[in-house]
Amino acid sequence: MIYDEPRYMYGGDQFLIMETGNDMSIRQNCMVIEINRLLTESKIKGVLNSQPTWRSLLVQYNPFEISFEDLKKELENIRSNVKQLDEIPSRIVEIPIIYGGKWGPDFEATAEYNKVSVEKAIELHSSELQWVGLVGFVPGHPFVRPLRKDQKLHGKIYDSPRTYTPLGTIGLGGITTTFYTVATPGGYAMIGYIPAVPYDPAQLLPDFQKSAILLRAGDRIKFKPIDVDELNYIRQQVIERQFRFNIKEGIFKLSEWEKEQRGE
Amino acid sequence: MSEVIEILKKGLQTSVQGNYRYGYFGQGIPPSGPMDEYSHHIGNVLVGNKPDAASLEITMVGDRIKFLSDTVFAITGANFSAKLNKQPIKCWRTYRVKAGDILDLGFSTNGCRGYLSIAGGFNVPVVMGSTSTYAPGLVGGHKGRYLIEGDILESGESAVPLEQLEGLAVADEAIYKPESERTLYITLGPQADLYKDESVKEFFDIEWEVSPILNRTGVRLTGTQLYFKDRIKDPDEGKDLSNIIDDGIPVGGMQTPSGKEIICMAKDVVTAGGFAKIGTVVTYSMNTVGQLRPGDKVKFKEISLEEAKEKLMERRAKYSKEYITKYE
Repeated sequence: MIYDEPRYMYGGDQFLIMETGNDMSIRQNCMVIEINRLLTESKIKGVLNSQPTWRSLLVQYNPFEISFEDLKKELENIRSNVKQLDEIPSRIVEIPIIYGGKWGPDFEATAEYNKVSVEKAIELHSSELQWVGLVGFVPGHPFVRPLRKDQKLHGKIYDSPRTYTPLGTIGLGGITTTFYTVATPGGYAMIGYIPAVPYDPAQLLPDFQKSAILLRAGDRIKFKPIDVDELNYIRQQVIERQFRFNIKEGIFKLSEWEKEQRGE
Repeated sequence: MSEVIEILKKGLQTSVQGNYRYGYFGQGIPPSGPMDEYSHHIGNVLVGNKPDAASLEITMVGDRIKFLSDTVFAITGANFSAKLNKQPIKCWRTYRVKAGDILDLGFSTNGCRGYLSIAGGFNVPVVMGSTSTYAPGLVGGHKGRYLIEGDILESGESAVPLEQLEGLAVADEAIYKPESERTLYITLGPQADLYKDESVKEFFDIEWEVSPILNRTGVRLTGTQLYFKDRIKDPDEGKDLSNIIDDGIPVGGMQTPSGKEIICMAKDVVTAGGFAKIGTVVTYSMNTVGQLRPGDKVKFKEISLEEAKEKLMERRAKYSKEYITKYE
Protein backbone atom coordinates (compact mmCIF):
# COMPACT_ATOMS: atom_id res chain seq x y z
CA MET A 1 0.00 0.00 0.00
CA ILE A 2 0.92 3.65 -0.41
CA TYR A 3 1.22 5.36 2.99
CA ASP A 4 -0.93 8.44 3.62
CA GLU A 5 2.22 10.19 4.78
CA PRO A 6 5.63 8.99 3.59
CA ARG A 7 8.29 8.01 6.12
CA TYR A 8 11.46 10.09 6.07
CA MET A 9 14.55 8.37 7.38
CA TYR A 10 18.22 9.21 7.93
CA GLY A 11 20.97 7.51 5.99
CA GLY A 12 23.87 9.10 7.84
CA ASP A 13 24.40 12.85 7.46
CA GLN A 14 24.32 12.93 3.65
CA PHE A 15 21.37 10.75 2.68
CA LEU A 16 17.61 11.05 3.11
CA ILE A 17 15.28 8.14 2.45
CA MET A 18 11.68 8.89 1.56
CA GLU A 19 9.62 5.71 1.82
CA THR A 20 6.24 6.10 0.12
CA GLY A 21 4.81 2.69 0.93
CA ASN A 22 5.49 -0.98 1.48
CA ASP A 23 4.75 -2.83 -1.75
CA MET A 24 6.01 -3.10 -5.31
CA SER A 25 2.86 -1.95 -7.09
CA ILE A 26 3.27 -0.15 -10.38
CA ARG A 27 1.41 2.92 -9.01
CA GLN A 28 3.74 3.12 -6.03
CA ASN A 29 6.72 2.82 -8.36
CA CYS A 30 5.36 5.44 -10.81
CA MET A 31 4.90 7.87 -7.94
CA VAL A 32 8.51 7.47 -6.83
CA ILE A 33 9.78 7.78 -10.41
CA GLU A 34 7.72 10.93 -10.96
CA ILE A 35 8.88 12.49 -7.67
CA ASN A 36 12.45 11.72 -8.69
CA ARG A 37 11.94 13.26 -12.14
CA LEU A 38 10.51 16.46 -10.64
CA LEU A 39 13.26 16.57 -7.99
CA THR A 40 15.94 16.23 -10.67
CA GLU A 41 14.29 18.91 -12.83
CA SER A 42 13.98 21.35 -9.94
CA LYS A 43 17.80 21.43 -9.52
CA ILE A 44 17.57 22.17 -5.80
CA LYS A 45 20.88 23.47 -4.46
CA GLY A 46 22.70 20.83 -2.46
CA VAL A 47 20.97 17.79 -3.99
CA LEU A 48 23.76 15.56 -5.32
CA ASN A 49 22.26 12.20 -6.25
CA SER A 50 19.03 10.27 -6.13
CA GLN A 51 18.05 6.63 -6.46
CA PRO A 52 14.38 5.87 -7.11
CA THR A 53 13.33 2.32 -6.16
CA TRP A 54 10.02 0.42 -6.07
CA ARG A 55 8.69 2.25 -3.04
CA SER A 56 11.33 4.69 -1.87
CA LEU A 57 13.59 7.48 -2.98
CA LEU A 58 17.15 7.78 -1.68
CA VAL A 59 18.55 11.31 -1.98
CA GLN A 60 22.16 12.31 -1.35
CA TYR A 61 22.59 15.93 -0.28
CA ASN A 62 25.33 18.25 0.86
CA PRO A 63 24.47 19.07 4.50
CA PHE A 64 26.37 22.37 4.20
CA GLU A 65 23.99 23.49 1.43
CA ILE A 66 20.62 22.05 2.46
CA SER A 67 19.39 20.55 5.72
CA PHE A 68 17.50 17.29 6.11
CA GLU A 69 14.40 19.24 7.20
CA ASP A 70 14.51 21.64 4.24
CA LEU A 71 15.03 18.80 1.79
CA LYS A 72 12.07 17.01 3.36
CA LYS A 73 9.94 20.15 2.81
CA GLU A 74 10.97 20.29 -0.84
CA LEU A 75 10.03 16.64 -1.30
CA GLU A 76 6.67 17.21 0.41
CA ASN A 77 5.96 20.02 -2.06
CA ILE A 78 6.82 17.80 -4.98
CA ARG A 79 4.75 14.94 -3.59
CA SER A 80 1.66 17.11 -3.23
CA ASN A 81 1.72 17.50 -7.03
CA VAL A 82 1.82 13.79 -7.81
CA LYS A 83 -0.89 12.43 -5.49
CA GLN A 84 -3.36 12.06 -8.37
CA LEU A 85 -1.10 10.44 -10.92
CA ASP A 86 -2.70 9.36 -14.21
CA GLU A 87 0.30 8.93 -16.47
CA ILE A 88 4.07 9.33 -16.60
CA PRO A 89 6.57 9.70 -19.46
CA SER A 90 7.77 6.22 -20.45
CA ARG A 91 9.88 5.16 -23.41
CA ILE A 92 9.58 1.81 -25.14
CA VAL A 93 12.99 0.22 -25.71
CA GLU A 94 13.36 -2.87 -27.89
CA ILE A 95 15.96 -5.35 -26.65
CA PRO A 96 17.05 -8.09 -29.08
CA ILE A 97 17.49 -11.36 -27.14
CA ILE A 98 18.42 -14.92 -27.98
CA TYR A 99 16.77 -17.45 -25.66
CA GLY A 100 18.06 -20.82 -24.50
CA GLY A 101 20.82 -23.15 -25.66
CA LYS A 102 24.32 -22.06 -24.74
CA TRP A 103 23.05 -18.47 -24.67
CA GLY A 104 20.65 -19.15 -21.82
CA PRO A 105 21.67 -22.46 -20.24
CA ASP A 106 18.79 -22.41 -17.72
CA PHE A 107 16.03 -21.61 -20.21
CA GLU A 108 14.90 -25.15 -21.02
CA ALA A 109 14.76 -25.95 -17.30
CA THR A 110 12.82 -22.73 -16.73
CA ALA A 111 10.23 -23.73 -19.35
CA GLU A 112 9.93 -27.13 -17.66
CA TYR A 113 9.63 -25.49 -14.22
CA ASN A 114 6.71 -23.42 -15.60
CA LYS A 115 5.24 -26.56 -17.26
CA VAL A 116 5.23 -24.97 -20.73
CA SER A 117 7.02 -25.66 -24.01
CA VAL A 118 10.15 -23.68 -24.92
CA GLU A 119 8.15 -21.86 -27.61
CA LYS A 120 5.47 -20.92 -25.10
CA ALA A 121 8.12 -19.75 -22.61
CA ILE A 122 9.57 -17.43 -25.25
CA GLU A 123 6.09 -16.10 -25.93
CA LEU A 124 5.42 -15.59 -22.21
CA HIS A 125 8.59 -13.60 -21.80
CA SER A 126 8.60 -11.59 -25.02
CA SER A 127 5.08 -10.99 -26.32
CA GLU A 128 4.11 -8.14 -24.00
CA LEU A 129 5.82 -5.02 -22.72
CA GLN A 130 7.68 -5.30 -19.43
CA TRP A 131 8.23 -2.57 -16.84
CA VAL A 132 11.61 -1.19 -15.71
CA GLY A 133 10.93 -0.41 -12.04
CA LEU A 134 14.46 0.17 -10.83
CA VAL A 135 17.86 0.73 -12.41
CA GLY A 136 20.63 0.24 -9.89
CA PHE A 137 22.84 -2.13 -7.93
CA VAL A 138 25.57 -1.85 -10.56
CA PRO A 139 25.61 0.47 -13.60
CA GLY A 140 22.62 0.25 -15.88
CA HIS A 141 21.38 -2.90 -14.17
CA PRO A 142 17.57 -2.94 -14.52
CA PHE A 143 14.92 -4.78 -12.52
CA VAL A 144 12.17 -5.59 -15.02
CA ARG A 145 8.69 -7.00 -14.29
CA PRO A 146 5.78 -8.00 -16.51
CA LEU A 147 2.88 -5.60 -16.88
CA ARG A 148 0.29 -8.36 -17.38
CA LYS A 149 -0.75 -10.90 -14.81
CA ASP A 150 -1.13 -13.73 -17.33
CA GLN A 151 2.31 -13.15 -18.85
CA LYS A 152 4.41 -14.29 -15.96
CA LEU A 153 7.26 -16.70 -16.50
CA HIS A 154 8.94 -17.71 -13.25
CA GLY A 155 12.69 -18.21 -12.94
CA LYS A 156 14.16 -20.35 -10.21
CA ILE A 157 16.77 -18.54 -8.11
CA TYR A 158 19.97 -20.54 -7.47
CA ASP A 159 20.32 -21.79 -3.90
CA SER A 160 23.95 -20.78 -3.92
CA PRO A 161 24.84 -17.84 -6.19
CA ARG A 162 27.22 -18.21 -9.14
CA THR A 163 30.53 -16.45 -8.65
CA TYR A 164 30.46 -15.21 -12.26
CA THR A 165 27.81 -14.35 -14.82
CA PRO A 166 28.94 -13.39 -18.34
CA LEU A 167 28.26 -9.84 -19.52
CA GLY A 168 25.05 -9.67 -21.58
CA THR A 169 23.34 -12.54 -19.79
CA ILE A 170 19.62 -12.16 -19.12
CA GLY A 171 18.57 -13.48 -15.73
CA LEU A 172 15.12 -14.37 -14.45
CA GLY A 173 14.45 -14.64 -10.70
CA GLY A 174 10.81 -15.08 -9.77
CA ILE A 175 9.04 -12.81 -12.25
CA THR A 176 11.87 -10.26 -12.27
CA THR A 177 14.16 -10.09 -15.29
CA THR A 178 17.57 -8.48 -15.10
CA PHE A 179 20.47 -7.80 -17.44
CA TYR A 180 24.02 -8.47 -16.38
CA THR A 181 25.45 -5.17 -17.62
CA VAL A 182 28.80 -5.96 -16.01
CA ALA A 183 30.10 -9.43 -15.19
CA THR A 184 29.11 -10.05 -11.55
CA PRO A 185 28.09 -12.91 -9.29
CA GLY A 186 24.43 -13.76 -9.65
CA GLY A 187 21.64 -16.08 -8.64
CA TYR A 188 18.95 -15.59 -11.28
CA ALA A 189 18.28 -18.32 -13.85
CA MET A 190 20.22 -17.58 -17.05
CA ILE A 191 17.56 -17.58 -19.77
CA GLY A 192 19.17 -15.72 -22.64
CA TYR A 193 21.75 -13.34 -23.98
CA ILE A 194 21.66 -9.86 -25.49
CA PRO A 195 24.32 -8.98 -28.08
CA ALA A 196 23.77 -5.23 -27.49
CA VAL A 197 24.03 -4.32 -23.80
CA PRO A 198 22.34 -1.08 -22.70
CA TYR A 199 25.46 -0.03 -20.77
CA ASP A 200 28.45 1.23 -22.74
CA PRO A 201 31.11 2.66 -20.37
CA ALA A 202 33.38 3.59 -23.28
CA GLN A 203 30.44 5.34 -24.99
CA LEU A 204 31.31 3.91 -28.41
CA LEU A 205 27.79 3.35 -29.78
CA PRO A 206 25.68 6.24 -31.10
CA ASP A 207 22.93 5.81 -28.47
CA PHE A 208 25.49 6.36 -25.70
CA GLN A 209 27.03 9.65 -26.81
CA LYS A 210 25.24 11.55 -24.03
CA SER A 211 25.14 8.87 -21.36
CA ALA A 212 26.82 5.52 -20.83
CA ILE A 213 23.56 4.14 -19.47
CA LEU A 214 20.52 3.72 -21.69
CA LEU A 215 17.74 2.50 -19.41
CA ARG A 216 15.87 4.53 -16.83
CA ALA A 217 13.29 3.57 -14.25
CA GLY A 218 9.90 4.01 -15.92
CA ASP A 219 10.98 2.68 -19.33
CA ARG A 220 9.13 -0.23 -20.86
CA ILE A 221 10.97 -3.05 -22.58
CA LYS A 222 9.95 -5.11 -25.56
CA PHE A 223 12.07 -8.24 -25.79
CA LYS A 224 12.59 -9.17 -29.45
CA PRO A 225 13.52 -12.85 -29.91
CA ILE A 226 16.33 -13.32 -32.43
CA ASP A 227 18.11 -16.31 -33.99
CA VAL A 228 21.85 -16.95 -34.35
CA ASP A 229 22.10 -15.17 -37.74
CA GLU A 230 20.48 -12.05 -36.32
CA LEU A 231 22.69 -12.34 -33.24
CA ASN A 232 25.82 -12.39 -35.39
CA TYR A 233 24.56 -9.49 -37.48
CA ILE A 234 23.92 -7.35 -34.37
CA ARG A 235 27.29 -8.32 -32.88
CA GLN A 236 28.99 -7.15 -36.08
CA GLN A 237 27.05 -3.90 -35.93
CA VAL A 238 28.12 -3.40 -32.32
CA ILE A 239 31.77 -4.02 -33.25
CA GLU A 240 31.47 -1.50 -36.11
CA ARG A 241 29.79 0.96 -33.71
CA GLN A 242 26.74 1.11 -35.99
CA PHE A 243 24.13 -0.53 -33.78
CA ARG A 244 21.20 1.57 -32.64
CA PHE A 245 18.49 0.56 -30.20
CA ASN A 246 14.91 0.97 -31.32
CA ILE A 247 13.56 3.52 -28.81
CA LYS A 248 10.13 5.15 -28.91
CA GLU A 249 9.23 8.09 -26.70
CA GLY A 250 5.86 7.56 -25.06
CA ILE A 251 3.50 7.89 -22.13
CA PHE A 252 2.51 5.14 -19.70
CA LYS A 253 -1.17 5.59 -18.94
CA LEU A 254 -1.20 4.34 -15.38
CA SER A 255 -4.90 4.86 -14.57
CA GLU A 256 -6.00 3.15 -17.79
CA TRP A 257 -3.61 0.29 -17.13
CA GLU A 258 -5.06 -0.16 -13.63
CA LYS A 259 -8.59 -0.30 -15.07
CA GLU A 260 -7.46 -2.99 -17.52
CA GLN A 261 -5.95 -4.97 -14.65
CA ARG A 262 -9.23 -4.85 -12.77
CA GLY A 263 -10.97 -6.04 -15.95
CA GLU A 264 -12.98 -2.84 -16.40
CA MET B 1 50.92 17.90 -19.30
CA SER B 2 53.73 15.38 -19.26
CA GLU B 3 54.25 11.72 -18.51
CA VAL B 4 55.09 11.65 -14.84
CA ILE B 5 55.14 8.07 -13.54
CA GLU B 6 55.40 4.50 -14.74
CA ILE B 7 54.25 1.57 -12.64
CA LEU B 8 57.21 -0.85 -12.45
CA LYS B 9 55.54 -3.27 -10.05
CA LYS B 10 51.91 -3.09 -9.11
CA GLY B 11 50.65 -2.88 -5.55
CA LEU B 12 47.71 -4.74 -4.05
CA GLN B 13 45.04 -2.38 -5.36
CA THR B 14 45.99 1.06 -6.61
CA SER B 15 43.61 3.41 -8.37
CA VAL B 16 43.26 7.04 -9.37
CA GLN B 17 40.80 8.84 -7.08
CA GLY B 18 39.76 12.47 -7.28
CA ASN B 19 36.41 14.21 -6.97
CA TYR B 20 33.11 12.44 -6.31
CA ARG B 21 30.86 11.40 -9.19
CA TYR B 22 27.43 12.86 -8.66
CA GLY B 23 24.23 12.58 -10.69
CA TYR B 24 24.32 8.94 -11.82
CA PHE B 25 23.47 7.10 -8.60
CA GLY B 26 19.95 6.39 -9.86
CA GLN B 27 21.42 4.44 -12.75
CA GLY B 28 23.73 2.35 -10.60
CA ILE B 29 26.85 4.54 -10.52
CA PRO B 30 28.23 5.25 -7.02
CA PRO B 31 30.14 8.43 -6.05
CA SER B 32 33.52 6.60 -5.75
CA GLY B 33 36.38 8.94 -4.74
CA PRO B 34 38.86 8.45 -1.89
CA MET B 35 38.02 5.97 0.88
CA ASP B 36 39.80 8.30 3.33
CA GLU B 37 38.76 11.72 2.10
CA TYR B 38 40.71 13.60 4.74
CA SER B 39 44.12 12.12 3.92
CA HIS B 40 43.47 12.38 0.19
CA HIS B 41 42.44 16.02 0.33
CA ILE B 42 45.18 17.24 2.65
CA GLY B 43 47.75 15.41 0.51
CA ASN B 44 46.63 17.45 -2.45
CA VAL B 45 46.76 20.70 -0.50
CA LEU B 46 50.31 19.79 0.57
CA VAL B 47 51.49 19.63 -3.06
CA GLY B 48 49.65 22.80 -4.09
CA ASN B 49 46.55 21.23 -5.68
CA LYS B 50 42.88 21.75 -5.01
CA PRO B 51 41.73 19.23 -2.38
CA ASP B 52 39.85 16.89 -4.73
CA ALA B 53 42.50 16.71 -7.46
CA ALA B 54 43.34 13.22 -8.75
CA SER B 55 45.90 11.25 -6.77
CA LEU B 56 46.68 7.55 -6.32
CA GLU B 57 44.94 5.53 -3.63
CA ILE B 58 47.19 2.65 -2.54
CA THR B 59 45.99 -0.26 -0.45
CA MET B 60 48.07 -2.15 2.16
CA VAL B 61 50.90 -2.92 -0.25
CA GLY B 62 52.12 -0.14 -2.51
CA ASP B 63 53.56 -0.06 -6.00
CA ARG B 64 57.09 0.47 -7.23
CA ILE B 65 57.09 3.60 -9.33
CA LYS B 66 59.55 5.27 -11.69
CA PHE B 67 59.30 9.03 -12.16
CA LEU B 68 59.42 10.09 -15.79
CA SER B 69 59.69 13.82 -15.23
CA ASP B 70 60.47 16.33 -12.47
CA THR B 71 57.77 16.75 -9.88
CA VAL B 72 57.00 17.05 -6.15
CA PHE B 73 55.13 14.28 -4.37
CA ALA B 74 53.79 13.45 -0.92
CA ILE B 75 52.36 10.34 0.72
CA THR B 76 49.50 10.79 3.23
CA GLY B 77 46.99 8.51 4.94
CA ALA B 78 48.21 5.26 6.44
CA ASN B 79 51.89 5.18 7.30
CA PHE B 80 53.70 3.49 4.38
CA SER B 81 57.27 2.22 4.72
CA ALA B 82 58.27 4.04 1.54
CA LYS B 83 61.75 4.38 0.05
CA LEU B 84 62.97 6.89 -2.49
CA ASN B 85 65.99 5.59 -4.40
CA LYS B 86 66.35 2.98 -1.62
CA GLN B 87 66.48 5.63 1.17
CA PRO B 88 63.62 5.54 3.72
CA ILE B 89 61.36 8.59 3.54
CA LYS B 90 58.56 9.97 5.69
CA CYS B 91 54.87 10.32 4.98
CA TRP B 92 53.02 13.66 5.27
CA ARG B 93 55.98 15.51 3.68
CA THR B 94 56.87 16.72 0.20
CA TYR B 95 59.80 15.39 -1.80
CA ARG B 96 61.17 16.80 -5.04
CA VAL B 97 62.16 14.20 -7.61
CA LYS B 98 63.57 14.12 -11.12
CA ALA B 99 63.13 11.78 -14.06
CA GLY B 100 64.60 8.34 -13.32
CA ASP B 101 64.04 8.42 -9.54
CA ILE B 102 62.48 5.25 -8.14
CA LEU B 103 59.83 5.25 -5.39
CA ASP B 104 59.03 2.06 -3.53
CA LEU B 105 55.80 2.66 -1.65
CA GLY B 106 56.36 -0.30 0.65
CA PHE B 107 53.51 -1.39 2.88
CA SER B 108 51.26 0.25 5.44
CA THR B 109 52.14 -0.15 9.08
CA ASN B 110 48.94 1.20 10.64
CA GLY B 111 45.85 1.89 8.48
CA CYS B 112 44.78 0.42 5.15
CA ARG B 113 45.14 3.13 2.52
CA GLY B 114 47.64 5.78 1.54
CA TYR B 115 47.56 8.54 -1.04
CA LEU B 116 50.31 9.52 -3.45
CA SER B 117 49.72 13.13 -4.51
CA ILE B 118 51.84 14.94 -7.07
CA ALA B 119 52.11 18.61 -7.99
CA GLY B 120 49.43 19.36 -10.58
CA GLY B 121 47.56 16.13 -9.84
CA PHE B 122 47.27 13.18 -12.22
CA ASN B 123 45.75 14.06 -15.56
CA VAL B 124 43.07 11.52 -16.43
CA PRO B 125 39.88 11.99 -18.49
CA VAL B 126 36.84 13.32 -16.65
CA VAL B 127 34.16 10.62 -17.00
CA MET B 128 30.62 11.50 -15.92
CA GLY B 129 31.96 14.56 -14.17
CA SER B 130 34.70 12.81 -12.19
CA THR B 131 38.30 11.64 -12.38
CA SER B 132 37.72 8.85 -9.82
CA THR B 133 38.02 5.18 -10.70
CA TYR B 134 34.98 2.93 -10.32
CA ALA B 135 36.62 -0.33 -11.33
CA PRO B 136 33.59 -2.68 -11.05
CA GLY B 137 31.79 -0.51 -13.64
CA LEU B 138 34.92 0.08 -15.76
CA VAL B 139 34.48 3.82 -15.23
CA GLY B 140 36.92 6.71 -14.78
CA GLY B 141 40.49 7.00 -13.52
CA HIS B 142 43.11 5.30 -15.68
CA LYS B 143 41.24 3.12 -18.22
CA GLY B 144 38.48 2.40 -15.70
CA ARG B 145 40.63 -0.03 -13.70
CA TYR B 146 43.24 -0.57 -11.01
CA LEU B 147 46.80 0.13 -12.10
CA ILE B 148 49.10 -2.57 -13.47
CA GLU B 149 52.74 -2.89 -14.49
CA GLY B 150 53.63 -0.68 -17.43
CA ASP B 151 50.89 1.89 -16.89
CA ILE B 152 52.10 5.42 -17.57
CA LEU B 153 50.26 8.38 -16.07
CA GLU B 154 50.45 12.05 -16.93
CA SER B 155 50.48 14.96 -14.52
CA GLY B 156 48.49 18.15 -14.81
CA GLU B 157 50.00 21.62 -14.73
CA SER B 158 51.20 22.58 -11.24
CA ALA B 159 49.64 25.84 -10.03
CA VAL B 160 52.70 26.48 -7.86
CA PRO B 161 56.38 26.47 -8.96
CA LEU B 162 57.98 23.22 -7.79
CA GLU B 163 60.65 25.03 -5.73
CA GLN B 164 57.95 26.49 -3.50
CA LEU B 165 56.61 23.03 -2.73
CA GLU B 166 59.93 21.64 -1.51
CA GLY B 167 60.41 20.87 2.16
CA LEU B 168 56.76 21.15 3.21
CA ALA B 169 54.97 19.01 5.80
CA VAL B 170 51.55 18.67 7.32
CA ALA B 171 51.53 20.12 10.85
CA ASP B 172 51.49 17.47 13.58
CA GLU B 173 47.98 18.37 14.78
CA ALA B 174 46.60 17.80 11.29
CA ILE B 175 48.19 14.37 10.75
CA TYR B 176 45.51 11.73 10.71
CA LYS B 177 46.27 8.67 12.82
CA PRO B 178 43.85 5.98 11.72
CA GLU B 179 44.58 3.74 14.71
CA SER B 180 43.46 6.49 17.10
CA GLU B 181 39.84 6.28 15.98
CA ARG B 182 37.98 3.15 16.96
CA THR B 183 34.48 4.59 17.33
CA LEU B 184 32.31 4.81 14.24
CA TYR B 185 29.58 7.45 14.48
CA ILE B 186 26.28 6.44 12.92
CA THR B 187 22.63 7.33 12.53
CA LEU B 188 20.19 4.50 13.15
CA GLY B 189 18.24 3.22 10.18
CA PRO B 190 16.85 3.37 7.57
CA GLN B 191 15.54 -0.04 8.76
CA ALA B 192 16.62 -0.19 12.43
CA ASP B 193 12.96 -0.72 13.44
CA LEU B 194 13.01 -4.19 11.86
CA TYR B 195 15.54 -5.48 14.43
CA LYS B 196 14.69 -6.73 17.91
CA ASP B 197 15.36 -4.08 20.56
CA GLU B 198 17.90 -6.26 22.35
CA SER B 199 19.82 -6.69 19.08
CA VAL B 200 19.96 -2.92 18.55
CA LYS B 201 21.27 -2.58 22.11
CA GLU B 202 23.88 -5.29 21.57
CA PHE B 203 24.90 -3.70 18.30
CA PHE B 204 26.02 -0.63 20.29
CA ASP B 205 27.39 -2.54 23.28
CA ILE B 206 29.86 -4.93 21.68
CA GLU B 207 33.09 -4.57 19.75
CA TRP B 208 32.93 -5.56 16.08
CA GLU B 209 35.88 -7.12 14.30
CA VAL B 210 36.84 -6.30 10.72
CA SER B 211 36.86 -9.45 8.59
CA PRO B 212 39.45 -10.05 5.85
CA ILE B 213 36.84 -9.41 3.16
CA LEU B 214 37.09 -5.71 2.49
CA ASN B 215 37.27 -3.55 -0.60
CA ARG B 216 36.05 -0.23 -1.93
CA THR B 217 32.48 -1.54 -2.16
CA GLY B 218 32.16 -2.65 1.44
CA VAL B 219 33.84 -3.66 4.67
CA ARG B 220 32.57 -6.71 6.58
CA LEU B 221 32.40 -6.78 10.37
CA THR B 222 31.62 -9.71 12.60
CA GLY B 223 30.47 -9.62 16.21
CA THR B 224 27.15 -11.13 17.12
CA GLN B 225 24.01 -12.58 15.57
CA LEU B 226 21.41 -9.83 15.10
CA TYR B 227 17.75 -10.85 15.36
CA PHE B 228 14.74 -9.45 13.55
CA LYS B 229 11.22 -8.93 14.82
CA ASP B 230 8.63 -11.17 13.24
CA ARG B 231 6.63 -9.45 10.56
CA ILE B 232 4.32 -10.25 7.69
CA LYS B 233 6.55 -10.55 4.66
CA ASP B 234 5.66 -9.04 1.32
CA PRO B 235 5.56 -11.89 -1.25
CA ASP B 236 7.96 -9.91 -3.42
CA GLU B 237 10.69 -9.71 -0.76
CA GLY B 238 13.25 -12.43 -0.25
CA LYS B 239 12.35 -15.15 2.27
CA ASP B 240 14.74 -14.22 5.07
CA LEU B 241 13.70 -11.65 7.69
CA SER B 242 16.80 -9.65 6.75
CA ASN B 243 15.43 -9.25 3.20
CA ILE B 244 13.41 -6.19 2.28
CA ILE B 245 12.02 -4.94 -1.02
CA ASP B 246 15.01 -3.67 -3.01
CA ASP B 247 15.87 -0.27 -1.62
CA GLY B 248 18.49 2.45 -2.16
CA ILE B 249 21.75 2.02 -0.23
CA PRO B 250 23.56 5.07 1.16
CA VAL B 251 27.35 5.30 1.39
CA GLY B 252 28.00 4.03 4.94
CA GLY B 253 24.80 1.96 4.97
CA MET B 254 25.21 -1.21 7.06
CA GLN B 255 23.51 -4.24 5.56
CA THR B 256 23.14 -7.34 7.72
CA PRO B 257 22.42 -10.43 5.57
CA SER B 258 20.61 -12.96 7.79
CA GLY B 259 21.79 -10.87 10.76
CA LYS B 260 25.09 -12.80 10.67
CA GLU B 261 27.44 -9.94 9.86
CA ILE B 262 27.53 -6.26 8.99
CA ILE B 263 28.56 -5.10 5.53
CA CYS B 264 29.35 -1.41 5.78
CA MET B 265 29.01 -0.07 2.26
CA ALA B 266 31.78 2.29 1.15
CA LYS B 267 32.54 4.67 -1.73
CA ASP B 268 31.92 2.13 -4.53
CA VAL B 269 28.55 1.23 -2.93
CA VAL B 270 26.09 -0.88 -4.92
CA THR B 271 23.27 1.63 -5.21
CA ALA B 272 20.33 -0.66 -4.43
CA GLY B 273 19.75 -4.00 -2.77
CA GLY B 274 17.38 -6.08 -0.72
CA PHE B 275 18.92 -6.25 2.78
CA ALA B 276 17.84 -4.32 5.88
CA LYS B 277 20.28 -1.70 7.10
CA ILE B 278 20.58 -1.26 10.85
CA GLY B 279 22.44 2.05 10.64
CA THR B 280 24.50 4.33 8.45
CA VAL B 281 28.04 5.54 9.20
CA VAL B 282 28.27 9.34 8.91
CA THR B 283 30.70 11.10 6.56
CA TYR B 284 33.12 11.99 9.38
CA SER B 285 33.67 8.33 10.27
CA MET B 286 33.90 7.13 6.66
CA ASN B 287 37.59 8.16 6.81
CA THR B 288 38.01 5.57 9.57
CA VAL B 289 36.11 2.94 7.56
CA GLY B 290 38.52 3.58 4.69
CA GLN B 291 41.46 2.84 6.99
CA LEU B 292 40.15 -0.34 8.69
CA ARG B 293 42.33 -3.43 8.43
CA PRO B 294 41.33 -7.06 8.97
CA GLY B 295 41.31 -7.77 12.71
CA ASP B 296 40.71 -4.15 13.79
CA LYS B 297 38.00 -3.74 16.42
CA VAL B 298 35.44 -0.93 16.40
CA LYS B 299 32.39 0.22 18.34
CA PHE B 300 29.37 2.13 17.09
CA LYS B 301 27.96 5.29 18.63
CA GLU B 302 24.83 7.16 17.63
CA ILE B 303 25.23 10.82 16.72
CA SER B 304 22.80 13.61 15.79
CA LEU B 305 22.90 15.24 12.35
CA GLU B 306 24.05 18.50 13.98
CA GLU B 307 26.97 16.83 15.78
CA ALA B 308 27.92 14.94 12.61
CA LYS B 309 28.01 18.20 10.68
CA GLU B 310 30.10 19.94 13.34
CA LYS B 311 32.66 17.15 13.45
CA LEU B 312 32.90 17.12 9.68
CA MET B 313 33.26 20.89 9.50
CA GLU B 314 36.05 20.82 12.06
CA ARG B 315 37.92 18.19 10.11
CA ARG B 316 37.39 19.80 6.72
CA ALA B 317 38.73 23.12 8.07
CA LYS B 318 42.11 21.38 8.17
CA TYR B 319 42.41 21.05 4.40
CA SER B 320 44.03 24.41 4.48
CA LYS B 321 47.42 26.02 3.99
CA GLU B 322 47.37 27.00 7.67
CA TYR B 323 48.26 23.42 8.53
CA ILE B 324 51.17 23.22 6.10
CA THR B 325 54.56 23.96 7.63
CA LYS B 326 58.21 23.86 6.62
CA TYR B 327 60.41 21.05 7.85
CA GLU B 328 64.15 20.98 8.36
